[in-house]
Amino acid sequence: MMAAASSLKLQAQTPEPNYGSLHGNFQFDGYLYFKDDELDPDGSDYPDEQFLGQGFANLIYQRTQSWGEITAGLRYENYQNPILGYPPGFVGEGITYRFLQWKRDRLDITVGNFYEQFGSGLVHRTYEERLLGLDNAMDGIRLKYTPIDGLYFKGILGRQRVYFTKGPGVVRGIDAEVNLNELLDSWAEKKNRLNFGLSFTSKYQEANDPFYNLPENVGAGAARLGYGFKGLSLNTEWAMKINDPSADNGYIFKPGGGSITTVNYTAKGFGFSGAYKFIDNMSFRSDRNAGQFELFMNYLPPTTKFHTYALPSLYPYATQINGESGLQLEFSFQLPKESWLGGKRGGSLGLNYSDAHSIAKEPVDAETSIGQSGTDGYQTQWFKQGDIRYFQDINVSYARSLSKNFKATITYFNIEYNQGILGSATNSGGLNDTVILNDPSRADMAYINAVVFEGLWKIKPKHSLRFEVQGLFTEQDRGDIAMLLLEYSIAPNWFFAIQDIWNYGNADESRRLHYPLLSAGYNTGTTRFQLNMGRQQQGIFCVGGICRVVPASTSMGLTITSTF
Amino acid sequence: MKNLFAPSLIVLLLATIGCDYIDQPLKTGVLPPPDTTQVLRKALIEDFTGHRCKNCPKASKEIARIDSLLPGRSIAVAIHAGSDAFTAPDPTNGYPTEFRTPEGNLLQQFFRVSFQPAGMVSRLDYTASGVAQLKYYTSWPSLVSQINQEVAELKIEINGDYEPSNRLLSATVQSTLLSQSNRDLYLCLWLCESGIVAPQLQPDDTRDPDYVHNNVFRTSLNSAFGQQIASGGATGEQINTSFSYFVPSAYTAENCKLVVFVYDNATQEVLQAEEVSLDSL
Repeated sequence: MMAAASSLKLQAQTPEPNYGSLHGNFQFDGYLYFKDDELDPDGSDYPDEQFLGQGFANLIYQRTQSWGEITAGLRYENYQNPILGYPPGFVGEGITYRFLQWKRDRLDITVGNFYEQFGSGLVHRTYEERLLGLDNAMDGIRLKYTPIDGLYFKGILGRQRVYFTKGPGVVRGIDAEVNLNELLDSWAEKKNRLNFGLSFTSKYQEANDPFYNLPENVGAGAARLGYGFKGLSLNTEWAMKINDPSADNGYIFKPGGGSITTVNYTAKGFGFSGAYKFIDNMSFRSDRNAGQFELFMNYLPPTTKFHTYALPSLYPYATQINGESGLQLEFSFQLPKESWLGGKRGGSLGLNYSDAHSIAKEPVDAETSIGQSGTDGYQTQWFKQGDIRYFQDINVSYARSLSKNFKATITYFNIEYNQGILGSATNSGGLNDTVILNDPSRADMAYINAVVFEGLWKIKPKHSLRFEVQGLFTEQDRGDIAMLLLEYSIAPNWFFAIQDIWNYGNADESRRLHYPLLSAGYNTGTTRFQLNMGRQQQGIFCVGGICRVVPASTSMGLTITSTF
Repeated sequence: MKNLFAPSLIVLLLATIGCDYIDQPLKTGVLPPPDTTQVLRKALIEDFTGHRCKNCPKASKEIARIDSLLPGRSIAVAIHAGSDAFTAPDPTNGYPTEFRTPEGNLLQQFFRVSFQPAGMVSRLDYTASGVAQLKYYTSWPSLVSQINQEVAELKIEINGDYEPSNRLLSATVQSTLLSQSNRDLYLCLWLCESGIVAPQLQPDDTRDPDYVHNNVFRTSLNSAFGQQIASGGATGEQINTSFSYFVPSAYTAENCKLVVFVYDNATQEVLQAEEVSLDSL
């Protein structure tokens, strides 16, 4: 006994070797496409490869030392070839992200790839949105320095990723933030919370244009303020950018500007959030000729609600980077138990309103048309809304537990959608404001009403059935659509789903198609397998106000995700 | 305060170096004439386009604008290839013309052209992965200007004859190396036609039934990717390539031009290009 105890004690005293930790994740998406003459009569969307697949793996190594912390990582990506609707520039394979980061002496240093954001992102945000196919990672150096608590500095330098190469522009930026509650002892216990920050980003891109004197160095700066008191918080950021002629703005030399202000308030049983945004010529990329999702240096947050239900999400709003004025108001109420609306078990009610309009534009002089290349383009005034409505969305959601085992949610949507600007199944969109101002009918507004009823029935322990009944009603675009979804889950491993979308109201009788889809998923540990088979209708997929068109297809898809 | 000194200095430095304010956006004055003491590179613009692509006329206008400012310094080819939604005939909606060609389709697939308008300028930046070689039309003026300032590695001279009576085109292309080369050189001979009046979708979504299509790629005389003419060579080495071709009657010969270019098979980069109209031969 004594010997055993002694041995245990010795073991306990021997320090564990510090090898650090390695973790990562993996994802694969593969689709076998089927030729579907009904869905795609001319076969224009059917890929020659028939099977398209793409995947990636992240590996992250971390080790904490007595002096600080070190992290290193890499990502391998493979697109053979990109799935339908994904940006085709991703074709190929390679290590697209690698970095080394260490933290010591209040200094945080990263070399290699990194993502960064200053404030709300109006002058700088690099990020990855894999579902969209957006990755504008920096490749360079980042320094973060905290000289004293409550005072934060960041500096960045590098170039951005575009597919499997880097953009031509060099990005430089610095950000400073002060948090008074952390900085000053006298503010530490205050109920008022206050922080403010300043940021500046610039790019350098060589100019060799025979027509224009292009700026090679373009800078943008922003100031922000955050205030909080009990359940109230207010954040506002204002940005300015100097002349930045680009493909986005049609090579006008007007400075850009923008502001976004959000207010949130929460109290017992009640929540409110409001946002107002004004954007004028704030596209900011590290290549003046870039398009699609390429090389964005900044991020213009959306002020519209992101819908997850399939039918309302056919009409999402994409941020108009050259100019928009947007407003969003959202109220949420917790309905108390034993009340008229809340019933025996209580519920919730949500109201949301959002809109987006053009900004007012006037010619710079009598001889210059609005948006004319090589000029200042137009004049505008801060917060002056234009005459074109891009989008409006009013939705009301009511959720309530009808029994111990059954919860229901009903949501109504009323959407006004400018197809001429935003595009749809029947309108390629992309018109500029001038075309619509000259002929308002070109806006091709779609007026949409939609209702979704969702139910969740807990049949027995670990077994549940979720269903959705959706109806979308419009006289424009592809007309009325109905949808039914049934999803059966056996926790924690299995789920099975069947759905059908029927475009019964399409004005073109040959397009009154059904879009059936079968899905099954299996989870084991941290690995998930999912199989889908069926039709997908053409749609617009958006994340954070940035959208891509997804073509119609019939396919069998396999998705595998795994983490360790 | 010592801790704040370095960050403050960086902020001030960045703020002062980060901005070029432009008072005079348009370049004024006459461009200096090209250096005639040396052979300079001409740029090849391969514009992948479609008659149902609404933004494609913008790219065509850009080509005309470049040629007006830098006449004869670039050679444009409009290749109708890519998504059927942009390029396929659609007689029902008033787009009956078939502009697509087998060679154009091969080029579109090889260079992974998946959006339009997209172009290559002398096939710069070609990579096996990705689409760095595809350039938006707004970048073409800068790239043409940049290429025009470079000394060419080789010179191309076209001598020949076009006989209207039997529509026979006979020519010899002389490629002269202006510096020692270890490149795998390929020569392409393309026939293009201008002045074709046919409908084109416009940027405002209207249809222009009388749109004039220029520089339309019709065919390649020696396959889509041309033929090997040399694998390295010494300065001054000349490579002659002779050919003859009956111009199909479907093409209006007086509106046709012969486009000749040499590229490096390893990088795909076009080293030099020339063009000649058939009626000037």
